[in-house]
Amino acid sequence: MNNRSSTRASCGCTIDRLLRQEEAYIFITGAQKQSDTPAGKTYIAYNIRICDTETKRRYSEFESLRRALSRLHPTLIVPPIPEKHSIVDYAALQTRVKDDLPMIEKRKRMLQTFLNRVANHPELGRDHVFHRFLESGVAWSDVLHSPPLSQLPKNPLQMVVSKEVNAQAHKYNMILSSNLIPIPSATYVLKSPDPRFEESEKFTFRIANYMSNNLDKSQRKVIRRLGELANDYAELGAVYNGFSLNESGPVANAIEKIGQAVDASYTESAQMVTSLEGEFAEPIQEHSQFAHIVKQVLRFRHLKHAQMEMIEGSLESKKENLDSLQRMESEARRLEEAISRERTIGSNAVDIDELNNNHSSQVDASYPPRRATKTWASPVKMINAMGHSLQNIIDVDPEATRRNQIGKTKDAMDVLQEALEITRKDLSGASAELQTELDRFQKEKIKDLRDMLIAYAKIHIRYCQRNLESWQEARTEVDKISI
Amino acid sequence: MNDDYENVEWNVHATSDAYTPHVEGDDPLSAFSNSNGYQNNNNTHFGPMKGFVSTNGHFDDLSSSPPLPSSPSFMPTVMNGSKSTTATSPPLPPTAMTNGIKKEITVTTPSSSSSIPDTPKSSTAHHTYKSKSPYSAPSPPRESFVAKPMVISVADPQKHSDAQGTYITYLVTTTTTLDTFVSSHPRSVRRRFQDFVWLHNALLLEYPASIVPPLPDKHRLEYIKGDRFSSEFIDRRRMSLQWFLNRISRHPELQRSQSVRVFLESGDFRNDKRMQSRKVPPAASVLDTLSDTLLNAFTKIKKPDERFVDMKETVDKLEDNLDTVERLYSRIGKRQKDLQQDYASFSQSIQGLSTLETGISKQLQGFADTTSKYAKAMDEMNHDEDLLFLNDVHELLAYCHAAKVTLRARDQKQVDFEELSAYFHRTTQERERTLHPGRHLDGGLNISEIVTDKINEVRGIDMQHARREKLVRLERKIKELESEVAHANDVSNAFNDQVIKEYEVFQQAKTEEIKQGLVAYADSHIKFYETGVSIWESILPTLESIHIDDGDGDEEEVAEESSTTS
Repeated sequence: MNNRSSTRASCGCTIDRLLRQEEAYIFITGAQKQSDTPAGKTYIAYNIRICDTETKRRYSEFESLRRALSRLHPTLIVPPIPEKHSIVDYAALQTRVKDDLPMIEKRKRMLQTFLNRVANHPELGRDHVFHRFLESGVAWSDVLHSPPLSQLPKNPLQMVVSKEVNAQAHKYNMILSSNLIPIPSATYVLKSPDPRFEESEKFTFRIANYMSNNLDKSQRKVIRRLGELANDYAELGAVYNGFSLNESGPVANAIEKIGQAVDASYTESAQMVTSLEGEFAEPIQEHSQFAHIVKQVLRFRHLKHAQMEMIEGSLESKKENLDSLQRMESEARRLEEAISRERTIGSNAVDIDELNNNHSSQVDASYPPRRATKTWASPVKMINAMGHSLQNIIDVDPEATRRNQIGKTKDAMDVLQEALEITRKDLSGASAELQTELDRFQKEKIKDLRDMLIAYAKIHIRYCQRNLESWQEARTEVDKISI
Repeated sequence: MNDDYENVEWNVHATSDAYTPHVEGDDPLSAFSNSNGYQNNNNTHFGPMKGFVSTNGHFDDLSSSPPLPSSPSFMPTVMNGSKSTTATSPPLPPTAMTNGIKKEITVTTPSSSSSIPDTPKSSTAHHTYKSKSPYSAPSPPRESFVAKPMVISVADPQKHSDAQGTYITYLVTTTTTLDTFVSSHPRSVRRRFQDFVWLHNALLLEYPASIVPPLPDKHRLEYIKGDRFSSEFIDRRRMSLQWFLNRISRHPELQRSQSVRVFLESGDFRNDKRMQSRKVPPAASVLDTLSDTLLNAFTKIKKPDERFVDMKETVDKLEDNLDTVERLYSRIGKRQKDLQQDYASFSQSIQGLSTLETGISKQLQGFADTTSKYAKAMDEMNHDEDLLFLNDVHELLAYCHAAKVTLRARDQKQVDFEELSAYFHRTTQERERTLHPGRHLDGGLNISEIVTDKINEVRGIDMQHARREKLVRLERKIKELESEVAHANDVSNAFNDQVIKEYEVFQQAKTEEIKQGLVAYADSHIKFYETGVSIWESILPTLESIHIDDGDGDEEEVAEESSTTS
């Protein structure tokens, strides 16, 4: 059928086979500092391993993989990768960002999650571009400069995205790339929006805002405060320890044990910070990013819809033009007939009104079709109009021009008609695909949320249990103080 | 009760009289130092001392001021004597005591510990003391220095108004087997803060060598802010007053004090208070003490007594440690409060999410509730920690200050005594020199003496006559000083003994209070973590009930399968 579906069926490569194995899991086994020999710049390379296949990729390559996947599949929710170092990080750590171990660990975890999310995605996981990323000995730049990536149009609206349309995917579609096809702007308001997508757009916007502005912030605060408290506890534990040295007997023992309990609180708090960071904070961040990705995907569908409406619109105006051209044509014909009849009545009699009328209608007639093709060039319109008047004065054969225009309009209408059909089909296909994707994503999100909440609760249970034990021990020791 | 006071007066005179003949011999100082292993004797008579120290060389006026044996500082000796008689009555069974006592924050330790026979208990106390101070202290029989069961509770604050303004009274209920009290049944009186202040001052005057438990701060800020009638403030003050009375009730001597009895028992407190104040020696000595302290503020102890140096060091260290804990906790407490608020706002965030993710809103709601419960439990822990442990630390700190004040008073006495002894020494030297003119005992040259002699020679004063007169004067002076120094020696010994006993009481109280605080501290944490485990565990099934695979329940509005778009 086409490239796309054949990819989907199976690219049959080694990686594809590996990924289809039961419980295949992609690991990032390590991260090393590497340096480009000529530039002398250093970067961190991450070792990716699936079964026995191992390869190294750097952060920027992950970034470009993600970009490539989302360009190839504008209707799919491509999982996020960890954010770039913020300027603040650079300012705070300066050149040492790359040596920042916790940061590298965090990236390792999040990049690993990213790869596995892609691998488990029903469509992205079968994309050969992704397989090439995992393959050892493949230079990523080669993948970037070969099809399908090299053939991707700049604007995803210029290609067919859904499998409904029997056309080549990941490539310029000749019809959609025609300069007759309008490019909608992001602010375009749909004339007949799809109520279901309107709903989910609203929902996604709210979720995205809520995630990044509220939930992520408040959970981060908890973690940060816990970290600060952990340090306080460390200090307090040391104080109790010193205190116990100044006392003697059971009192000293009791204070020492209390100090140990506080020390344990320190260790446990620090431990909890790490666990929460990995098992709660990072997924929340990820889903906050996800929400924004969903927003982008929905925006793409919105544009696709807008594109279809605009094609409809221009087809409509072309049709009007054609109608008026044809009306003019028939009028001109009637005029001619009338003139020829007039000649038979009185050869010297000239109807000035008729001539004037003819003259002005001539202008009218030649003008609208031009305008129809140049709808969006308003400042040019006047110049054109003047040009046409001039042309009319000079024009030797207005009829020929008119006929020519009628032909052109008809051609354009054919193209638009075809584009409209493709777009309509594509939109419907894309919408359906997007809908499935949203449903799938929603399930994935609920599952993630469930796992995160369970992890959160378990981490707290563990924290409380450990602390409980050490404090109970301390309590026993306090009881030994005899009075 | 009056008998006790009669006793007191009598004892004072008896002891001072009895000691005077002791002081014979050429060098009284050496005699004292031989009789005790150490030389830290104290003088208690500040008035005359001032004169001695400041007017070196003009001793004529000194002879006119006689020793004042009944100064308040002399009380320790008295108490030792009177106490042994009262302490012998057997303790009542503790069960009778604890019955009918409202379990406020009352520390019932005194009554509970009394179930143990007195002798082994005091011997353990003695043992710990020994282990802390490896010198051989002349230890008085400790069996007698044990508090009797006594439980005092401070409860039910009530607001009153009269012409002078509004004030709070507290219901003070005492249960004790002390024979100074009318009965062993619980007895309740109402007292206001001012009354506590009176008791505190009375005890300070009556027992200068004792560590009198401190009263809560005046809380000036609350007075200015005007919220000194807020329930929080009143309750905290009530707790502090409870601490104050607990400490008194644990103190073997203070618990028997007349002032304490009047405070705890009197039905006509206003009159009894006045009567009692009259019995307590006049407070004029406060001024003396003050000027004396100023005078000797920069004088160092010549022969520091290791025992008291150790005591001070121990108290200092304790104070340091407590202070560090308190300071650190002012930060940690705030941080814990912040964390608790962070959890609360996180809970709200989850709550908000539950209105967005309608498919799992029930579970999210449950999770939000759990988080806020957790925050609440944390808040309770903070509160308990603050009220029961940090308050304990704070009170103990105040007690440390009181202990240090007493130790400083002891030091002061030693300084005064040392000054007096030095003066005595100088006077005897003077006599020697007058007897044998031209001979310098210490080998040095007394310039002022020579100058005076020369001037007198020039004036043509009859040297022989003048010398005779001077000798007579000096002899009289030395006699007086002898008795004075001897007396001071006796007093200072008593003071030292008292401080040693006080220290023991203090250590005991400290141990008890530390235990009490640590128990509350550990318990508040245990309770919190237990609650934590249980609330987080109870939410797990709800969270696990989120099913992913059955299609409908989990999805929101976009969930429906779409087939076509227009």
